[in-house]
Amino acid sequence: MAGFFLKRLINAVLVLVGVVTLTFCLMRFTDGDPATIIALDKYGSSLISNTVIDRLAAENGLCDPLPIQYLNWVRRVLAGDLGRSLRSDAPVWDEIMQRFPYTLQLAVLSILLTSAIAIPLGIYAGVHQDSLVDRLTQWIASITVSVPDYYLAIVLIYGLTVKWALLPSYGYGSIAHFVLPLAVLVSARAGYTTRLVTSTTADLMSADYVAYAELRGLPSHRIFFVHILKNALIPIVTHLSLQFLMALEGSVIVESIFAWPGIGKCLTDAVLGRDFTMIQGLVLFMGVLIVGMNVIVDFFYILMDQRVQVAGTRVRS
Amino acid sequence: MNLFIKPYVLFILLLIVLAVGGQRLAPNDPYQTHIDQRLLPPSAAFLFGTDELGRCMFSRLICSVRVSLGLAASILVICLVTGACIGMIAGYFGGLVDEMLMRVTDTIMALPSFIVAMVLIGTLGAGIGNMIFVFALTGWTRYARLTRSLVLSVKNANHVVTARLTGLGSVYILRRYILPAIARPLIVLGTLGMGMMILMTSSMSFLGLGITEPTPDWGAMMTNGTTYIRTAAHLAIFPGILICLTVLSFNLLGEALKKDNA
Repeated sequence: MAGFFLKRLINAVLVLVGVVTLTFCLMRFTDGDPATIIALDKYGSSLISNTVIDRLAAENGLCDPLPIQYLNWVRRVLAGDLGRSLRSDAPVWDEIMQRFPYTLQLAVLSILLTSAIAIPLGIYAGVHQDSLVDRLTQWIASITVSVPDYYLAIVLIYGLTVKWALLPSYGYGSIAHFVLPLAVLVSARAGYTTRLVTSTTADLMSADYVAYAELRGLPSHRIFFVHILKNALIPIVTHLSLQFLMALEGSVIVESIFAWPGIGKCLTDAVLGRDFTMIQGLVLFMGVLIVGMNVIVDFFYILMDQRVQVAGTRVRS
Repeated sequence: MNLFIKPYVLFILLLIVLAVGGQRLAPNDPYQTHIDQRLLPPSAAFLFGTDELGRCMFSRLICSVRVSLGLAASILVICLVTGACIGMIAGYFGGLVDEMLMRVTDTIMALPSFIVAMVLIGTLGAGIGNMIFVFALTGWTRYARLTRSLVLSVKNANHVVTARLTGLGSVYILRRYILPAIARPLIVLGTLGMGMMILMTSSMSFLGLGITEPTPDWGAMMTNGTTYIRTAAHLAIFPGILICLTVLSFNLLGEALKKDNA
């Protein structure tokens, strides 16, 4: 078990090294010379003399050989220095730290709400197959996954803000500000997750050991809680890391529409404004977040699934 | 089950007709501006009203089908072909090649593809070519995975083993005996992926990073609609309904094919 976890941890560290390398390469993939881009942003004109560009290149360490530049980049990342935004000149790290709590609030709330809706509904639909609830969730899920986030957002803004002026449509502040972004984030993901839970539960219902438990004459509530629910939770927990990814992805569109001051909006602005240092910092930050999330989910997975523990011992020996 | 009487299939056929016909089917010129007829509500002359430059929304919607659907379909085809090739190589040859290819696939699958696409567009620059590239870069993985597992299940079937024993080349066996056996499930997954591809590409255009004005595109039209949501809601409502119906139709078709297949 410890061996399996160690293996995952080493894997995570390798991925992190990859992320750091990739973010270093990002600046070099841009169309144009990095020093020229910095100069353009600083002086806002395309008529910049070569001496200025050379001076900026030297100042930013762009004249060093690439391996040295790479080592400098790694050293700076480890020290928590992601450079300064090309647009606002604020330190990238501070900007991300200031904005991230807003995204985290939305993400956590949306995952909690999605789970609160999807898990009970999905399990009920899986146990009672072809019931009204099962068919209804199937239909609702088909429709909600087909509606783009931005369209749902616009329809909600039109209905609840323009027509009836019930809710604020942009910004951050009171609880009312949370309603529309959360509604958009939850709707598509809840439909999808419900179907996932339903199919997991339905598969477990037809498993041999459930039939055996029934034959042994165990009471049905015991079969449900011990044999079905416990095993159904494993893929659901694993799905949490995917949900986190989806919340992060969803935040880009939702935050842009509702002017939510999180990192999703920050990324959109950075990409639209070609703020390369900001993009670099955000990619690094999100990469670390995702890797961290995966490690946590792996840990829960090991705790819950006996088979992984057995396989883990084999890996160790 | 006869698929051709299903409403979603008829809708997809209609979309294909519109995509092929393009501008010829539009009642008005989609690029012609009427500055005195801006933001008109739906009427007999302009079925879905006019946009902020007085262009006919109905005509723009008809022309947008070719742009948006064509873009999503071409990315999907690239993903399918790439994924099938990589999956076949990994599954058929196995060993170290398989291990390496699947490691790459797993890594890409663990990334948030929309954010990766956004970041790459941010560095490479916007445009249709870059958009196809960045979505294809992350999109092929699910097809590679499926192809690999399908190849593994047929690679030891009697007819494939016999072909190998007679000394036929690997490429010939893959093309002649394995590809036909695995094509159906791949097409089903491709149909299911079409809806997602439309959502992703139009979201990118919606953010202003994909296809931009004046080309009529679903995402870009929605951005316009958002700007004028308080004064002319029809600008957002009609393209939105079209996108939803398209994605829903492809999803339903995919589900139906999946059931048929099983």
